[in-house]
Amino acid sequence: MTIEKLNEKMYRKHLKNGLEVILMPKKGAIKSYAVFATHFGSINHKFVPLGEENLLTVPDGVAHFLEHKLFEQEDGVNALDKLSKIGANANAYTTFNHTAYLFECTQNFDEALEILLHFVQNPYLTKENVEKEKGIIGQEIKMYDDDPDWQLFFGFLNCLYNEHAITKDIAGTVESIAEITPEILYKCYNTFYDLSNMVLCVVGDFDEEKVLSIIENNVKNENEKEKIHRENDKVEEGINKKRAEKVMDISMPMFMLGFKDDFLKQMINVGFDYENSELVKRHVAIEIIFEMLIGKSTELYEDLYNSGLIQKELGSDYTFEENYAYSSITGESKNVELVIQKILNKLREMKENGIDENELERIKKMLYGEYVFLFNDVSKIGSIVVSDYFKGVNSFDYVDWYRNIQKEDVEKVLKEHFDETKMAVSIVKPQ
Amino acid sequence: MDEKTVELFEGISLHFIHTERFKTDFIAIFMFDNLKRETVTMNALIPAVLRRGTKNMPTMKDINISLEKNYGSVLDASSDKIGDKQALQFYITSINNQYTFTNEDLLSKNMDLLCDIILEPKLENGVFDNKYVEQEKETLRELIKSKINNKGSYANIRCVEEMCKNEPYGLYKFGYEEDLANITSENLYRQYDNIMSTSEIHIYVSGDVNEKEVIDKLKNRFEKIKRNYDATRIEEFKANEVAEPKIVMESQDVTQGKLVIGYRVINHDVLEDMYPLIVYSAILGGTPSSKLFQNVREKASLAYTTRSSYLKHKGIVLISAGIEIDNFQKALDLINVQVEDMKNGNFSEEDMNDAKISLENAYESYLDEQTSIINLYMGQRLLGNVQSIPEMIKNMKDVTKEEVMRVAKELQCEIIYFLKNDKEMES
Repeated sequence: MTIEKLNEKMYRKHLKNGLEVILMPKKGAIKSYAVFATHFGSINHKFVPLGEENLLTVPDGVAHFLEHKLFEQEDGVNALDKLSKIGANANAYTTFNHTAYLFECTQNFDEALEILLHFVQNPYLTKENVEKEKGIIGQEIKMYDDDPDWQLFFGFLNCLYNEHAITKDIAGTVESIAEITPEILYKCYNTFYDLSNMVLCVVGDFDEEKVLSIIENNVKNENEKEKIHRENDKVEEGINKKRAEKVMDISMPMFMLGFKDDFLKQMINVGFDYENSELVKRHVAIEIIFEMLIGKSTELYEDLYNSGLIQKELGSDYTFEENYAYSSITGESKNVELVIQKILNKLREMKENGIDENELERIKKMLYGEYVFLFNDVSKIGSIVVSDYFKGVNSFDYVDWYRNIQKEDVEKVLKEHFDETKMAVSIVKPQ
Repeated sequence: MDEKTVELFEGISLHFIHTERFKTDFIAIFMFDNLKRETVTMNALIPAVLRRGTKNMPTMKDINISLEKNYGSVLDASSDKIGDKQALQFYITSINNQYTFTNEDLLSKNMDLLCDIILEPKLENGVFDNKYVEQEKETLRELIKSKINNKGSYANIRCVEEMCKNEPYGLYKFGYEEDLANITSENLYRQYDNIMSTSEIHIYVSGDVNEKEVIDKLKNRFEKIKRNYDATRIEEFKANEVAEPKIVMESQDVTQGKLVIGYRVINHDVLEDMYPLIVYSAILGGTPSSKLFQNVREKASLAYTTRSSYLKHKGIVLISAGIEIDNFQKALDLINVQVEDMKNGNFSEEDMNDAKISLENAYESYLDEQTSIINLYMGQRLLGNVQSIPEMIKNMKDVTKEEVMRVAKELQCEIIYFLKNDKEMES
């Protein structure tokens, strides 16, 4: 199946073993990018391991721990070194709901792709190498402990959600990772790193048939498995608390204000599901509302800036994944309370009066242009496509909605989503 | 993707980097000044004031509406320090005309917008609008204060500040809070006028553009400024004698310690030493196969991040690591072993090759990154030696082990900086 937009082509194939392959040939690109990802992230802490019958609860931080350890290989040569030795710049990351292994290179692409496919499919975990990693990850956790943005973010999630695993740090804690053993890691690996739970995306100047044959020759030849039994935390009703505060060594108070979105009554199906174009529409509507609320061309922004209440633009985001969704605004101010008050006043006004058609058309053009920017870079394209895959949406749908969304669509979301009973604020303050 | 240079006026050059690879066109304008305590804060302030309003678009809102209409074009005005120099830099980027809904000429609109920002600021009684100057002083004050927020970069800044105390490079790139009080719209405008009139100006245009149209447009805009180009404006700074190594400890409320060690390359000759030092730094701490990554992280589990970086405009190497506060001495000793190994030639041909292939990949990748290639060429211009990517790759690959050992021996440790907290670590 092939889709074309913005002079870019997306070619998809679902292999017999269940692996979803997405190829995006980009003529003239010097760099190539490949990402191999599994639908296993920090929130998947309860599941029935492959071949077993009972639910297992694993320590926090297990998905991230496994991400670190998969590079270790039986021949004693770390896969990161192997890739680095042929000039490929490799990395990996873990999110709430997926883990991804990737590289970017300008030469030796075929070989690098083979190494990627091989190491992710062949774990080598020993008591010794698992213990050794605890010191390294311990330092990673401490680095985030000192990161005010990260602390602000988790303060916010803890307001919106109560028991949900999204409130736990992706890397876990020094205490929780102490409990991790090779046995636990293998159980997770065998369950979630099955090809039928994975996706591979390649972007670059290549021949599709050739890349597809490399992939087919280097993935396990087995049949697609049944869906994994995972016990995802339920979509919670309402929010946990309205406010969180923390003190850190920083220069100015920071805030994150946002709304939990209970639009997701049922879980999203991961993978491309074209029914989910509605989700893209909702995302685009929320982006437009944020631009009209606090964007750089608004009177509110000008007022906040001129009165010295903010020194740089406010950030905004909408996140939706299989069993959680929220929007957020972030900023820094000497007077956080006043800034929040002004944002809420404007929001109420917008809800009451609706939005301006001319402004809408201008913002649509702008968001469309910003989206086109992303398609300059193979690694950006690859990471967008993969993260959208795990959201259950098609990246190219954004191009259509940026052009076609209507005033009524935006106003409907404005009334529905920005519900102050589902609003929370997280603050990090200087000492 | 080489650059093609056209001399617009004396001291104003236009560089084309022609490419059809991107969906965007990119214009960047740089002006260079000496990095000095007397002007560093002013120079950091000027781009921010210019960004506030022009003769035709007097408010920030007016400018931002224009950018939105131009399909979310991005405008940035800022300053940076590059070695002992300060650059005032202005960027605008937009999608290429072919991706607009009705084939609009965004490039031409954006060239005008950028020129308006730089050449026709909103004035009041012949100087900058006082309201804007006062507001931007407060914004800059907060920006200067915010350097403590990111602990890793803060430790780097502090290390360089202590190491280069008596040199321009030791200055903080955004200047100093205490210098803000003396800045007025009059003296700030004078500094702006002086830079516009006498400094070296470089304009870069990257994308699939009609060169003649660009030349005509920019000639037309820039001929209106009064120029009195001073080719001797930029002075070369020679570093003092190498100092004795010192230890600087600083406390904050942190859970992880940040260690940064600063080394000076004695008699740094950038043309001779640059490529050997680039290879040196890659072997020591630039890749996952590097000595620091392998020994400090992988074998000893002391750190999650550890790396080395070579500042070619200054002849400085920095080694950094985020560690347990109690492991200060252990990490320092282990890092010293790696540095000694480099001096003694305890690294293999394989290490050389690993470093080189990784650098080659990084250099080739510049071609796919519109801003990186402009910044690369601009940085090279300041060193007085612009090279194409294939030339860079060749020079880097020609580096021998002997050359790496030679530069390794020229590194002298001047400072050990450690950011920790009060509670832990007794010694």
